[in-house]
Amino acid sequence: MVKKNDNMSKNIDRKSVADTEILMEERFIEKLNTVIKQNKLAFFSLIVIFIIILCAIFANVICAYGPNAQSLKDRLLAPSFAHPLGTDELGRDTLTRVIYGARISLTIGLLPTFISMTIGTILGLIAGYFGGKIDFAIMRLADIMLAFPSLLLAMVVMYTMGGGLINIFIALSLVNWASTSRVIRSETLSLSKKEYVEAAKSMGVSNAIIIFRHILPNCIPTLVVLFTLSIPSAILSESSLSFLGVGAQPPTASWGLMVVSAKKYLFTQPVLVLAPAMAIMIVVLAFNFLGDGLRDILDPYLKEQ
Amino acid sequence: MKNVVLSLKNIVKEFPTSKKNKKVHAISNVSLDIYENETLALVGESGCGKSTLGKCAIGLISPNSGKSIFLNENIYEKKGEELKQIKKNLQIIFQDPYASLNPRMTVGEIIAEPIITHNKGMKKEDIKLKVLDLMEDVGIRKEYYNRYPHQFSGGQRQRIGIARAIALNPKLIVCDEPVSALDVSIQSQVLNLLKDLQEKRKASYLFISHDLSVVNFIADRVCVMFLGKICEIGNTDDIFENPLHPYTKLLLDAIPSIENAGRQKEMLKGEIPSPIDVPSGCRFHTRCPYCMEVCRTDEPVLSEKNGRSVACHRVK
Amino acid sequence: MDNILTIRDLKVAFQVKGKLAYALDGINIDIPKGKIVGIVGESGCGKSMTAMSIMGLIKNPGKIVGGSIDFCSTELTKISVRDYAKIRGKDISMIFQEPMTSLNPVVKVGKQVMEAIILHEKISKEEAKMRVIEIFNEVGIPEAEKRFNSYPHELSGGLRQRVMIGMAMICKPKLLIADEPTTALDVTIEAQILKLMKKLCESVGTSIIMITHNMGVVAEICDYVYVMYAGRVVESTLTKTLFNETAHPYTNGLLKSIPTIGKKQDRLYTIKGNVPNILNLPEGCRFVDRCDYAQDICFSSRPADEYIKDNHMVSCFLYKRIEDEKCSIKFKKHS
Repeated sequence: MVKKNDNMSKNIDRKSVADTEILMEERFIEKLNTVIKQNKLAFFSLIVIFIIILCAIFANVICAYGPNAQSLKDRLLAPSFAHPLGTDELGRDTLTRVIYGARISLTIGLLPTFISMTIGTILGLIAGYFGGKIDFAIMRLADIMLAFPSLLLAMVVMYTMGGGLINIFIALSLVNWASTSRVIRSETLSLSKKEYVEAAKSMGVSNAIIIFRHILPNCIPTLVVLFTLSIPSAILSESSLSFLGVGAQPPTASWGLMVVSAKKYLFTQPVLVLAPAMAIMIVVLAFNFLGDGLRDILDPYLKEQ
Repeated sequence: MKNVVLSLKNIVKEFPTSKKNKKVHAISNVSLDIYENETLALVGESGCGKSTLGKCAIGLISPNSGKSIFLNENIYEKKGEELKQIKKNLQIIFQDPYASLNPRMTVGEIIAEPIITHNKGMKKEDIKLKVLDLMEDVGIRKEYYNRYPHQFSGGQRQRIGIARAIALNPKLIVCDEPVSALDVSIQSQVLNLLKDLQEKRKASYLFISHDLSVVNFIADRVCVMFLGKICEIGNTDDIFENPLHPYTKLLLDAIPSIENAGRQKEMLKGEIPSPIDVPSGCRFHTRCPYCMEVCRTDEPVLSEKNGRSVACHRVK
Repeated sequence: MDNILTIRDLKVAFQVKGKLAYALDGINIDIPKGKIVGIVGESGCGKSMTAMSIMGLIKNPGKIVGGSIDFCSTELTKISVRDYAKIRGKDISMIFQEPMTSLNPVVKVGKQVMEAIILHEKISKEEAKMRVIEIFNEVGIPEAEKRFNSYPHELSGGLRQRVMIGMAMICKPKLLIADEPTTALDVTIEAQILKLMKKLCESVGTSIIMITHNMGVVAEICDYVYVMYAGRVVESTLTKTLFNETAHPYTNGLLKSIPTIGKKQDRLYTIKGNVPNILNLPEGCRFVDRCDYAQDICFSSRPADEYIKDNHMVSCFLYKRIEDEKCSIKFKKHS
């Protein structure tokens, strides 16, 4: 044998199995500490997102007014103690509507994006790993989806099924998978040439396990980045659809709709536009910073540097 | 007579190129026997097809034609569960210790993978015991069980790759340049380890390398390849003391040496010909200093004499 | 002896977590005119760092924190960026392990070599082209005129390395730094390239720093050798002396751990353990954890550079001890 370290015990018994488990727990806490220290911005963004989510869930508890409570005598008020962000053209409290808007924007941002990315990831993995005719079929379908303007496609779906939130979910989920599947396919192609995948094949590991243990986990940094980039664009798609009259219907409080309806007061009452716009910006930035941080944490190569 | 573990018969592998009706002739009609408990080294310059042949041998690459016979069965014809049982006996160690381990799995998970794959329903604790046992065998401290590959040096990673390969007690391990990415002092550690493990576990190695001094140390027999063909096969001592094929001679002569520095070398002319347009006749004739008329037209066949095979018109 | 490059007590350090980590810790190197000097060691020993210091290409957060590099009476650690650019490529040039990464893949190789010469000399394009074809012939590129218009990917590894050597030699530099120039090449091509470098060294009078991990390469072409370990030169001498009168236990271990052709060995000698991380060096001698001869003194204090003979420097307290277990290879140089 090669010269061994002296402190290595010759006999491996049940106790040493337990030892490694304790070591693992200690290491995890230690790791969490350093991870937070190294990614302060991401951690801060996580807190911001958490707060926004809390606000969205408990909107009816926090807010003094209803989102659609009109008071025509209080139209277009400047910010005051009673209305910290003023009121809109129908006398509704802007702060209340921004908080309620978070509900719609966050669900629209998260849920369809998650669904479309799941579809895209599965198809991308299959196309990239198996190649051949399956690959050809999936990729041509993706090409067609990409060639078609996604907003137009979403509108077609919305018109045939009618407006409303549920239908926005379905439309956005169906439209956005193609770009994910393309990225994941190319990632899978390069990963499946890696030697550890070859090693797994040589052991007789099944294809499904190779995909889920060796390929998918190594796609996660890419998926996280894609996810954070898709959330804002989904939020924007929602407002575009709403603007065109096929998305959320007034008087629903959605940030996109608020920007659209307040645009004529841009110079007289800028806070009406700025408040939802700032909300969109904060959410988008927070997700981006969180995404960057997550990528650093999840990617052992990057972490080394 | 020793028993044959794996027998390669008339392997041909061609890769398509971007141009139609032009192919990369990676391996052209190669037959080779690997015996029990021996180390057979496959040597040659880059692009000679030695890595491709190693991967064909264990079924990682399917050749265009030919057979790889393990226990009287052609592995290319097997599917599903039968193939899985064969693969258990044929493992591989890779060159690059950085690309051959999944960066997202811990050392424990990496070494456990072959065990879990072939022992469904084995208790978690038993698997862990076995993994720790393997880690001890290859000289990785058990405290490192939950570490990730990037926390190790190249030599240690190579040890992890070796542990994974020997986990199922395979009959044959293809070692694809296992030490060429390592430092000299680490290289000798890994070579010793491979030799010890062979003694202990009685496996055969198909040892692919371009470094002839390493081959001289570890191999029992040497097979020299040039452009997808075998030039010469023989016992290590015979090959190194008395190379018969001109290519083997020149290859040995080109090694930078301490004991014989600055000697007048017979330089091998030019570059390796392209495997797309292989030369007619003997594939080595464009670089061979002893080229005769017959070499340009007729392809020499590998002929055996006293356990030594050479493919050259000059050697009869 | 005429030295064209003298390095004295050179220290290069990195700022890591508020601490200074020394990648080079006080190295002394002399490069005589027209000779080939080898720098050997394992990865992370600082051999490439030495090359980068000479070229003035140390990247942040690394910094030269002490010592001097004297190149033909110019102090390289003190000159301006602009002056450095004039020296680099003209008086000092460098070739790398993987020529593909140092050639621009979308520019014809002839043009790339031409740019190197036009940058430093005032000559016309036609003249430059002539010079390029001339140097291509000199470095043994067949059909030089045709190859002038080739792209890097159309050439084999050996030819690419020849192009790199041509590019490095076109201004007839005083010093050529070769960082593992043959590691990526096959042995037969390696032999050709080494022969070419030796020939150029003799005909042009360029000094060459040959950075390598291969003791065989050192034996073949080097006149002097510096053995480095963890940021220090541990032994330096004439090639012949290094092999036949090995003094440092590390050098001895390296030589013993190489498998030798024509010798039946059952086991290889191994140096135990791994190369230490420069962030976490032993207290005393850097090699102490891996040394078979380590004594108390080795753990507590660092050995100084000691000349045991003219031209033979060793940094070890106990160099005499390895006498009995010396590596058995005998160096022989044909001329």
